Formats: sequence, C-alpha cells, structure tokens
Amino acid sequence: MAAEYYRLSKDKVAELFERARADYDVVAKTRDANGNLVYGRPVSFDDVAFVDEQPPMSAKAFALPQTEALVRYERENDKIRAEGPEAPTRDILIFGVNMCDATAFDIIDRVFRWDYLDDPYLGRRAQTTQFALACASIQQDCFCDRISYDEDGVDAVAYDLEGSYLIKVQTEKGRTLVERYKDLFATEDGDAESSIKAFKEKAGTAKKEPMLESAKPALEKAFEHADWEILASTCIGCGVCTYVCPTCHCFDIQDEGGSSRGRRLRVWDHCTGRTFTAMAAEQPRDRQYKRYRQRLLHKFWYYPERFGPLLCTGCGRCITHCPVKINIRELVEYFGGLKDTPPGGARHGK
Amino acid sequence: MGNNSERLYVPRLARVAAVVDETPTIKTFRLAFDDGPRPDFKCGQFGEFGIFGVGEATFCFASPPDREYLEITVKNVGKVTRAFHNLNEGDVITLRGPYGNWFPYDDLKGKKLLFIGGGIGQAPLRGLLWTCLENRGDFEQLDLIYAAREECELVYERELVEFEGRDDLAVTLALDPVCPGEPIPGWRGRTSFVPPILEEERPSPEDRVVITCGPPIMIKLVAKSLLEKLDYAPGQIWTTLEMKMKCGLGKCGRCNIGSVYVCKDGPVFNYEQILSFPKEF
Ligand SMILES: Cc1cc2nc3c(=O)[nH]c(=O)nc-3n(C[C@H](O)[C@H](O)[C@H](O)COP(=O)(O)OP(=O)(O)OC[C@H]3O[C@@H](n4cnc5c(N)ncnc54)[C@H](O)[C@@H]3O)c2cc1C
Ligand code: SF4
Ligand code: SF4
Ligand code: FES
Repeated sequence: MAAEYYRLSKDKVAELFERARADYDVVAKTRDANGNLVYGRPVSFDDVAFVDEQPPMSAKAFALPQTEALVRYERENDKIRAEGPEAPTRDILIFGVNMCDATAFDIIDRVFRWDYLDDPYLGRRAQTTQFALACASIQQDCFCDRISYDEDGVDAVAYDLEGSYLIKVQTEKGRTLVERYKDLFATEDGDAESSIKAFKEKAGTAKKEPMLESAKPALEKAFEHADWEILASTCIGCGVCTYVCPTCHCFDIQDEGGSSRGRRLRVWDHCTGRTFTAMAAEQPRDRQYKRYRQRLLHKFWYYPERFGPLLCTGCGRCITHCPVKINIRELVEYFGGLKDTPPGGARHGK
Repeated sequence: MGNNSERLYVPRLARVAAVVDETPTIKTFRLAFDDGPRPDFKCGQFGEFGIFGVGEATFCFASPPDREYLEITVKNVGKVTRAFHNLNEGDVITLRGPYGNWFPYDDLKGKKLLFIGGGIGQAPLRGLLWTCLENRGDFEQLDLIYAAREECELVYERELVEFEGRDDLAVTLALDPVCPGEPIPGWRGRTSFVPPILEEERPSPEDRVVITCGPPIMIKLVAKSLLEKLDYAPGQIWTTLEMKMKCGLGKCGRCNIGSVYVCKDGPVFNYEQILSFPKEF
C-alpha cells in the first residue's frame, strides 16, 4: 500500500498505549529491577520507556523466542502422539520499537518464508504489529546511516517532531492500528517526507556514502585474505554478538524430556561457537577466526547474495557488547575495500 | 521441492522393522510406517531422523526408491547415532523429509558410470547403484570401486558378494594398506587406497561420469587424481557433501558453504560447483 501520514500529539501516547492493551498483547521498552532497559510487558504507561534509547537485547525474541517448543510428544498406551506448537492467542503490538529492531523482522522473514514456510515463526509474525519510534540522534556504535535498508516493511513509524509525532503508516497492519484508535490521530497536511528527511539529517541517521552494501564485491575476493587470522583471532567465541543481534537467527534443535513425554525445542545458537559445525569426520571451521569470518560474511555477502538486503541493520550492539571489542563495521570496511587501513591503525596485512 | 506441509517440524513416526549389523560401528535399519505409505524420495535425498528424548540427526535414504521398504544406515559416532544403535525391532523413531536435491538420473543415462564409495559413504550411492542395475539398459558400463579401512568395515557385505557375481557390473574392493603393497591374508580384494587404483586402471574420461562419496579426504584425493592425472573435467564428477545439519530446510544456518546451503542446494553437487565455493571445506 502507499504510505499514509498522520499526527499523534504527545499527550495522546499514554492513551494509545492503554487502549491498545485491550486489543493487543502490548510489548514496550521498560526498566527491569536493575534499571536496565528491556523489551517487556509493562502494564501501565508509567512503566513504559517511550524513548529512543536502545536496549541491550533486541526485539527479535518476540518473533523468534530464545527457546520454543516445535513439537510436544507424549506416549499413551504404547502409542506416541506428536503435536505442533500452539499459535499465539492474541495479536502482539511492539510499541516504541527501535527502527534497527523493527526492520530486522522483515530481514529474518525472508529466510523463514524461503521455500519451506516456517509455521511457528511466521505464525507469530503474522500476528505482530510494529509501532516504531525513530531515533532523534544516532547512538553509540550505531551505523544504520551506512546501510540502505530503511523503513522497509515497518508497519508504522513515529518521528518526534518536537510538539507531536509524525506517524508514517506503511502496511495494512499499521493502518489497522490507526483505524482502531482513529480519534487519537490527526491527518497530516504538510509535506511529510520533507519533514522526515529533515528529521533524519538532524538525527544523523540520513544515509551516508559509502554504503556498506558496496563492500560485497571486495569481500567476495577476500575469503582467503591473510589478515582474517590477525584481526579476528581475538574473538573468544562467546556468542554475545549473535544473541544481542536483531538479525542473527541461527538455531539448534534439541530434545527435552524422556522417551515417554517431552518437547523438541528450537533454541538460539551461534556460529562463533566451537561446536557449531563440528562433525565426527571433520571440522570445517577449525580456527576461531574462521568462525568469526563466517558471521561477518554471512551478513555482508552470503545472505545478500540470496535474499537481497544485508543481514545487518547497523544497530551496533555487537560492537558495544563484544568483550574483546571486535568492530564489525570497521572489518567490513577493511575487507570490503572501503578503507585501506585495518582497525587498530597501522597496516599489517600482506 | 517446496514441500510446505503445514507443520514443518512435526515428524512422522516410523517403526523399526528390522536391524542389520553391518560392521562393529554401522547398522542398517528397515523402517515401517503404520500411518500410511512410506515417504517418496529420490536417490541422494536425506531426512532428519530422530528419537524422542534424544534428538534428530541427518541420514540419507539408503534404499532404492522403488522398493516397498525404506532403509537407513547409521554409523555410531555420537549422541543420536548411539541411541539408534540401541534400538530394537518395534521401537519408534521420528522422520522429517525427504529434503535436499538428488542425483540427475536422466542426465546420467547413456553414460559409463563409475561409482567410488568409501566406508559409510556407500549409503547414499546404494539406492542409485541398484536403480542403475535394475535399468541396466540405460547405461553403457557400470563400475564400482568400494574401499574401507578394514574388512570388517565393509558395509552391505551380502550385496557386495552378489555384485561380484554379476557380469554387468565390474567390482573392485579395496582395503587400506597397513603396510603398502603387502597383501592382507585371506582378503579377496586389493590392498590399496583409491587414487593408486585409478591411476593404474586409468578409466578413460570419455563418456564417463564418476559418482563418489566417502570420507572428505577420500573425496578430495579421488577428485585430485581424476582431474590432474586422468584428465577428467570437474563436471564429470558428482558427490554428496556432508556438513553439519539441524533443520534440513534452509533455516537454521548451519550447513552453508559460502552462500550455498548444502541442505537445500545439495547435498548432491557437481565438482564444478564445489570448485567455485569459498575454500572452506
Ligand atoms: C546429507 C547428510 C547425509 C548423511 N547421511 C548419513 C548416513 O546415511 N549415515 C550416517 O551414519 N551418517 C550420515 N550423516 C552424518 C550424520 O548426520 C552424523 O554422523 C550425525 O548427525 C551425528 O549425530 P550424533 O548426535 O550421533 O553425533 P554428535 O553427538 O552430534 O557428535 C558427532 C561428532 O561431532 C563431534 N562433536 C560433537 N560435539 C562436539 C563438541 N562439543 N566438540 C567437538 N566435537 C564435537 C564429535 O567428533 C562427534 O563424534 C549424514 C550427514 C549429512 C549432512
Ligand atoms: S565477536 Fe566478540 S561478541 Fe562475538 S563471539 Fe567473538 S568475542 Fe564474542
Ligand atoms: S551484526 Fe551487529 S550491528 Fe549488525 S544488526 Fe547484528 S548486532 Fe547490529
Ligand atoms: S541444515 Fe539448517 S540451514 Fe541447512
């Protein structure tokens, strides 16, 4: 559908949240007991952090939970019964989701609906509406300004234009949200796209050359580059980068329970770990730098080759939270031929 | 492909109808289906087989697609395969699939086929070899070289004896040499790795296609020998690749080599494709 534009005055946000709770299972940013920002299920708007600050964990768990039952099985009088997961009973609204998390859903969707339809994931996605809040200033380690993917696929986006929010609606699900609480929204008469452009310029999120998509041709030639070993060997394979990442979606399948009753689970897994590809006869990624290389190239070469966009929204979390300060943007720029000097300064390649 | 059953991860259940001890570490399981016809598959495809409470593992369909029964052959190497080895007749296993691509049977017609199997690598070749034998008129010549580390490691021994008695299939059996050149007492076949056999017999590349599966090192050395010493083109070699798999569906992100998903684009590959992959395997 063609985009539609509305205004939401700031003093109506609380009411929108409260009324939406009648129709949706509403997820929003909130502070946990330790004061950390998390996506959770606050029951009152007083506990909602309707701010652009980025929480350490992304919102992906609402479409791809860290653990979920794919199959439940039970033995009854010598017969085994196996059943699929139950679909969520209520629609989910992610209220005030960061743009880097909102766009990630559309990116992961492409994998889960590629040929075989992943019913547990797609079932939840069909019931999820994103109401995003665009960042008013680009944050620590973020580089969404260097990635072409923008508002694509996000149901509705709120831009903070001082006195009120400009709301851009892009999908039927976004339109349903506005329709349901129509009295809270005003129509927008101004040149909305110009306002959005000015907002992004000021926020520092407007796109800047060279975009990281342009690294791919050089990355394709850099698989055997000698500097991978020097620059990626510090990775300790902890997997933090993949757990905080909104686009990482690799998983394991494990059984929990006994032979007569239990669940077959999908659990998040990470390619930077030693056992990810270990087989009896061979371990193709037998060194840590090869495992890190897989993560980077999956995002900036393999995935784009098959699915189009990058497997990265530039949220910067993997940079912020890496215990050894590996910087994926700088490594993409270096191996992708956008910068001559490797991260850390002096040129030590061959 | 595109088998979009509504519940992608919910397996079918199958019953173990018979167990054959192939070697000290390998067993073949014949499976029966009480809830309908057995799944249809093509030579080269695989499935995700499991035991509730233990987990799933990837095995190829090891029987010919036109037989009534379905068989898998399992080598005991870890958690799930160990549990398979403890199965008895009547026990229930889970199955998803068939997944992946298959050998291009129609393109192979009219050619001379040379099968080269190593150890359990004979399992994915077995269905195709039987299919070729049953349609023997489709092929000008059929050869099989089958190698194992020791005599007790030969899989499908009873079939090998039958193969050796046929006059429409030339069979060479080989065991790894303990001391190179020295015969193993009582062994009816050769004592050699596969590449020296190829370099000695020199099967000409003319109209011939090689189909091979075995330990990764064997595949690499066989291909090297065919390409460098016997003038084969990479396109004349087909193999099936083993990468660690979990979903078999192109979702879990585990089996890729570059942008290729072995579970979706493979497991059957032409060596020309393999040479274009990033040097990861
Ligand atoms: C397309 C395809 C077809 C296949 N067909 C067959 C077939 O027909 N028959 C057959 O027998 N096999 C086949 N395989 C191989 C089979 O899938 C594996 O052997 C099986 O999945 C092993 O499962 P497991 O749970 O028993 O082993 P696991 O417990 O997962 O262990 C397997 C091996 O991985 C290594 N490993 C596991 N965990 C670790 C760790 N934490 N650290 C280091 N190393 C570790 C160990 O060396 C171990 O021996 C096929 C594989 C593919 C991809
Ligand atoms: S890159 Fe950093 S966060 Fe990621 S696995 Fe390596 S050490 Fe951990
Ligand atoms: S790869 Fe890093 S920067 Fe990109 S989306 Fe994932 S966590 Fe964010
Ligand atoms: S096995 Fe899961 S993607 Fe190939």
